[in-house]
Amino acid sequence: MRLLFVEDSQILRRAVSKALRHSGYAVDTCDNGEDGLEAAETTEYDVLILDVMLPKLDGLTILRKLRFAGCKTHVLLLTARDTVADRVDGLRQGADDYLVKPFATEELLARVAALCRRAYGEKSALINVGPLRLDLGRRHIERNGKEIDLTAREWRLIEFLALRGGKVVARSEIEAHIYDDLVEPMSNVVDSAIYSLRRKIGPDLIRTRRGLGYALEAPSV
Amino acid sequence: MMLGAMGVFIQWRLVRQLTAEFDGSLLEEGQALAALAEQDNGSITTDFSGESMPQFERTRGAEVFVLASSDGHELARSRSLGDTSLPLGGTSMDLPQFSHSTLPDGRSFRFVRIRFTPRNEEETEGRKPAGSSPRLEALLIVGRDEDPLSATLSELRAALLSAIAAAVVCLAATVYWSVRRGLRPLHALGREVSAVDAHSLSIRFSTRHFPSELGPIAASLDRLLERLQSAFDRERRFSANAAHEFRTPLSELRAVAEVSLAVPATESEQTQAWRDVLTATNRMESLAACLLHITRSENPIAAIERKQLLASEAISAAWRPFAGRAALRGVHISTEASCGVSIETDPSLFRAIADNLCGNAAEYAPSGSTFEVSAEQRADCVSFFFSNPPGAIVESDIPHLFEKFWRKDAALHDGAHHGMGLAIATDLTGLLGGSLVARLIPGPLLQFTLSLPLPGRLQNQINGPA
Repeated sequence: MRLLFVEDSQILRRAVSKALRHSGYAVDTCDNGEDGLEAAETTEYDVLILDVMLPKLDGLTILRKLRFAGCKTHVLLLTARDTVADRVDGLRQGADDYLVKPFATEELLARVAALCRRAYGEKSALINVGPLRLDLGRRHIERNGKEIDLTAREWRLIEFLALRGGKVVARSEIEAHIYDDLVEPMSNVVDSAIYSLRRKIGPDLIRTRRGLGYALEAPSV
Repeated sequence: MMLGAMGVFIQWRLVRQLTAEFDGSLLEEGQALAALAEQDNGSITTDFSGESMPQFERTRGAEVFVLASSDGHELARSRSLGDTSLPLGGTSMDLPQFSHSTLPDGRSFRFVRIRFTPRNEEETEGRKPAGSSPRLEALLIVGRDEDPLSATLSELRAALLSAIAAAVVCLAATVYWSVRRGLRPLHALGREVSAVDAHSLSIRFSTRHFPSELGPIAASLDRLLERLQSAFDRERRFSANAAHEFRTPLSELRAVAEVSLAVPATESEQTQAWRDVLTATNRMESLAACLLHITRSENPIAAIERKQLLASEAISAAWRPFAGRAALRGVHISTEASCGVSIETDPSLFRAIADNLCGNAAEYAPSGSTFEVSAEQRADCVSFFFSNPPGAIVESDIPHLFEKFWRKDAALHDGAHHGMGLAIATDLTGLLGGSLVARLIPGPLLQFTLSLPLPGRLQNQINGPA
């Protein structure tokens, strides 16, 4: 899952993006509204986290512009404004969720996870793929009841493939959603991550479609 | 009181009238008796007959009379008088005399004493009086029992007192009812005023159905409520803004703490986290200091110590901490010679105001611009002008410059600026009895004018170029 976090407070930006990355998200950050809008328009994100009061361009304006342009990415608004009118206004502008500062990091992570699931039409936090069972809420994965220990990057990959429901996902798409701007576009991080993931969950679940990409499927009997 | 006085007057009039009628009747009776007396041959006789005046014939009757000669010799008396003797002292011929007297048997009588000259029998008959017999004078005392009069007067008095008492009771009841009825709207207004609290300050009394007499009171209360509502709204906004300002550093602290606890960190990350904690703490400390400053500046009890102060030195001292930052941005200060004015003011407050204006110029004046400071002595005040190019400030921003927590870019959370500096400077200027206004002048320049009144001992000393 790839997120954009637009927040002018450097401290908050640093801390929250660290927590998000630790939870397995690829996170891009911006410290002002103009850069945030540009990033949201040029990159496909699964969730946008927007502070409302931003330098140059406020979060609500970004939201309006994105919705006007047809962008359907789920948006979580962060703000210090806590009145009902503020929340209603934010939601009417097209936000999918609203979180008031100061917030618990756990709550932010939970809301982001819920928005990510909604982004792929998945309401349940539990996904079963053959012998594989993913608990998106707890970030837990097991095969035949046996827990599998994954790195954050491996979790991002398996979660993304699982949410696509067996569809073939192109390598470029994986790169766009799983890796943030810190990764070199030409690197073979996807291949290495697929290889690493297969070693842990078993070689029979991730199918390679030559020239198309990868799909997470239950093994054929 | 008026009713009492009126009652006393009415009673006095009635007593007088009844007594006069009583006396008149008594006098008429006396005159009738006197008409029966006549003198003949040097003696006085009376033709009194009990048949024509039976009231004098009853034993212990209600009316009595005595007829006496001028020398006090009793000539006739009514049977009703019995043996009771009456004083036969003299009285004048001119006027009958009325008096009270209580007879030995306890009866109270009112008497009229009439001294008269009985008619001469011969003259009455048309004959010439024989010889030269002297004209005799007689004294007639006629009395009548006063008890009926006293009883009548007592009844009248009782009736009057009863009427007065009833009138007093009715009047009191009427007054009580009228006052209660009249005060009912006032009580209703009082109840509504008592029900007003901090959450219902929008209520207005002049729109309610109160009598027109309460209109001015309702209007005054409305004006008071408007002022209170305005003050409450202002305080609510201030509290909300203050809470809002604290949310960001609190969010930062919470996020740093939670992430530090939940996510393994390298040594450099831990160091960075502590730096972040320190930054957020400094920001909250700065914000708290601003709030305290505002609280103190709004307190009129704050002690103001006026001293002679060289304005140019105070402005230079205020600029000094910001000079480095300003130099990096290419902003320079230009202090005109007129700033060499010496004023009598509170140095710390003046410095705080100057600090704020200099800090804003160093931070927000466009790069490469000049921050100009000048002064002007006027009849009743000294005005200081702080001017620099307006940068991003436009005309519509001017009214907001002195609002608490207002920032041109509301999202700037750099930790050093909370949008309260100019609000504090305005409050401090108010403490000094002066004013601080902002305007855009041709240039264009954003000019702040700080006007401080001249105290009695204020003197200007233009010392030449600073």
